[in-house]
Amino acid sequence: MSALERFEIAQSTPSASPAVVAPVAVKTHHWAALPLLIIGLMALGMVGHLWLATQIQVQGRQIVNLEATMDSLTAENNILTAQITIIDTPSQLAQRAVSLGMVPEPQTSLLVVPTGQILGVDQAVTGSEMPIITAASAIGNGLTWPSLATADTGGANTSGDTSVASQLTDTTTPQV
Amino acid sequence: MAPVQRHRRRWLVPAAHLQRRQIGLMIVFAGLILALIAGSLYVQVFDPEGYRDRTGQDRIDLPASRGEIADRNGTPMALSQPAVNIVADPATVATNGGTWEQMSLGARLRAKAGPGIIAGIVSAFLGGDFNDYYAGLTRVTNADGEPNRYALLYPQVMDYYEQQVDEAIDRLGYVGIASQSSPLRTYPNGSTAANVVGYLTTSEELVAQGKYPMVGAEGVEQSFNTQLAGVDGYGKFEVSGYGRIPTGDNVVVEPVEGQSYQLTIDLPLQLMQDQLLAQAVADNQARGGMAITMAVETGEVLAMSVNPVFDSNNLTPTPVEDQGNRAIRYSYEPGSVQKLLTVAAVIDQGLADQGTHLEVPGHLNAGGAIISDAFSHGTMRMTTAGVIGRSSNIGAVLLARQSSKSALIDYMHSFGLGAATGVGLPREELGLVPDANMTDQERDMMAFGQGISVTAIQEAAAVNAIANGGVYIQPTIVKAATNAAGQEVDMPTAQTHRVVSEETSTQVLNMMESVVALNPGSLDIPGYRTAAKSGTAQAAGPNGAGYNGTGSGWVMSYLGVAPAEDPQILTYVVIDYPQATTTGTAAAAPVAESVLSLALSRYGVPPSTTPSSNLPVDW
Repeated sequence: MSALERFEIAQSTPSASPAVVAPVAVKTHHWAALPLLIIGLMALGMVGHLWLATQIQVQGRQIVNLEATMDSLTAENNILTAQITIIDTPSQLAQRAVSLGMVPEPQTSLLVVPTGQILGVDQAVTGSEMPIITAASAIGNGLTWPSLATADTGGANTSGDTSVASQLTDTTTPQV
Repeated sequence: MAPVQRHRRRWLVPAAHLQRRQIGLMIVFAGLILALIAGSLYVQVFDPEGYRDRTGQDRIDLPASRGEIADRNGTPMALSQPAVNIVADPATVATNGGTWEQMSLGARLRAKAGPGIIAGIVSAFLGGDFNDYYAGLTRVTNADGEPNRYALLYPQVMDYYEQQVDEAIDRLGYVGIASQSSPLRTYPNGSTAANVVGYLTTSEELVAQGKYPMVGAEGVEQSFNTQLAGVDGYGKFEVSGYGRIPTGDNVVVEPVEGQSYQLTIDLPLQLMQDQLLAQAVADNQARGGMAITMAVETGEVLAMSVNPVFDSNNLTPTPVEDQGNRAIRYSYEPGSVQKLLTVAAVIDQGLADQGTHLEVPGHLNAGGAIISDAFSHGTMRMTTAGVIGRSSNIGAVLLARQSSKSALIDYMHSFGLGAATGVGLPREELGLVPDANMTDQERDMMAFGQGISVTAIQEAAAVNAIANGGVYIQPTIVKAATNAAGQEVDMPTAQTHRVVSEETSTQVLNMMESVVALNPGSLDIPGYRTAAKSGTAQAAGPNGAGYNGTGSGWVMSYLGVAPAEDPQILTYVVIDYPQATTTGTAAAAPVAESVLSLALSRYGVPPSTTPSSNLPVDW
């Protein structure tokens, strides 16, 4: 029922007391409430944005730093891998083996397990069987040091020193 | 009746106020529309070129990784490592990225010092000549007067060092230096098997594209260059002045990584064979040498040595003629090792056997030429085994004369002579086999290894057919190939065909044992029955100088197979132009014998349990 209907009913009903019209109480807001709300939300958003942006920047910087560290470690890993590859080559192993007193074993004798029979000439190795190999290995066998470098193909660098081996051994880098 | 009073809510805006708000809103919208119009005018009228210039396609290369090469044990022989070319934009370096007219005096002085400082940094970190770098950095214009935007300062430096250079230049505030990916191809074993692995080279076109060096020029690097290289990919993006357009026509084609190859080479054995060959070449004051060790039943090349050697990592010190693979590319007259093929052909036709009696005179007329043996003798009564054991030229000629010329030539072709073996290495020399219309003299000479030329791999594969029960098996250097996902790639199987019967094969091997038996204590390998043959061939001088002319010499060779009763390993050694020895047995046999010993031991081949054939060589 609307206020007007309620008023008309009241008029048509006999009453001892005069009709009193009471305004319906309506809750109102201050005119600035909405703009303030919007401004508040915007301020909150801006603060949030600022916080997020700051966090992104901080974490972005951390990512950049970590990526730089990863690049550096990857590069270092590449160097170390190259060193291991060189050290693991047969020529390097042969040199180390000779330096440890090992000698080639050119004489085979096999033990046949089921029968215990020995096939071949069973004799001790003296180290003089392959003097060429022993001597060659001890001095690097006359082979070129595995420099891991590529042929110089010119460019501004004409020194020809593209050897990675030189890069590997030159671990002291001057400060500029 | 009292008028009804309506109460306006206080937050409702009066009409006047509402009008003001509407006007304000309209102003805001009008401002936005004006801004859009202004932006549109700027783009379309005032700066159309600039906007157009800022749009286009951004393309990035996605280079494929080159496959690796490893030996039969998985030990790397060639691999790619991340590296970059350090390049400069000299035109940018000249102004340190600024516009000269708008730069202050201080900035100009600073830019002037740039090339020197950058050259100093590169030189300090990477070595090399300061002046070379400086010259590259100060070449500001090209020959056509256009600004020079590209100078290669240092090729293929590992990124660890490039980072240090980059940081130092950055720290000092200079610009104009960049890096471009250029993987470094490395050969950890240096000169060991360099003739097999090969190397990469470059071309001006590739350098201009910053792809340096990426083309196989020798060895497996060349013969499988396409498969090793893979296929580069790329990314193509439409860009505006504000970066990539998300909804633009963006295409990414992933690279197809190169295949990796596992060779049949056994690096430790190769290393030892290299050492033994190098020593023999030095001891005999020879021009060079070759040695091949094969697995008899598979045709796999276990070691292929040449001397002089070269280092795939650095070719500079090695003469160009020594940067190849003599074992497949140097053809020569094989000498007496060829007698094995002659005798096998004759026996296989049923014209003789290992015990056939021959009366071998001291000299033999061959179409006007006098043929003699390496040792003086009167008429000797030799068996066929004696002809092989004593390496009689005359005996070989007498046997060859039993056969028709066409049959002999057919056998030579069937043994693989005169054609590329297809071992998997590039640019094989074919050698020379006479045709069936050859003269009698040519036939006679061919019988003992003159007038015919072979490569070491051809001769090794031919005799390997005898050792392999009479079946020729195509020699191979590649054991397997895998793609980037590690899946095995189908490889062509080695071609095989029967050349001589198994019985012929056995008889020839028995006769080869006579070579060892006639040199007791010097050619035998303790515990193993060994079949062998030496070769001592005159080498004609260049330009028709003949066998005794200027530049003529000798090619000494020795081929050993063991165990003779069940051949597993074959080693063939050639010493080229030795000065200090006159027989293949003296020059090449020690190498072959040592390599055979090592290989038999290394592969655990059981020693022989049966006695040597011990065939009669005389009658």
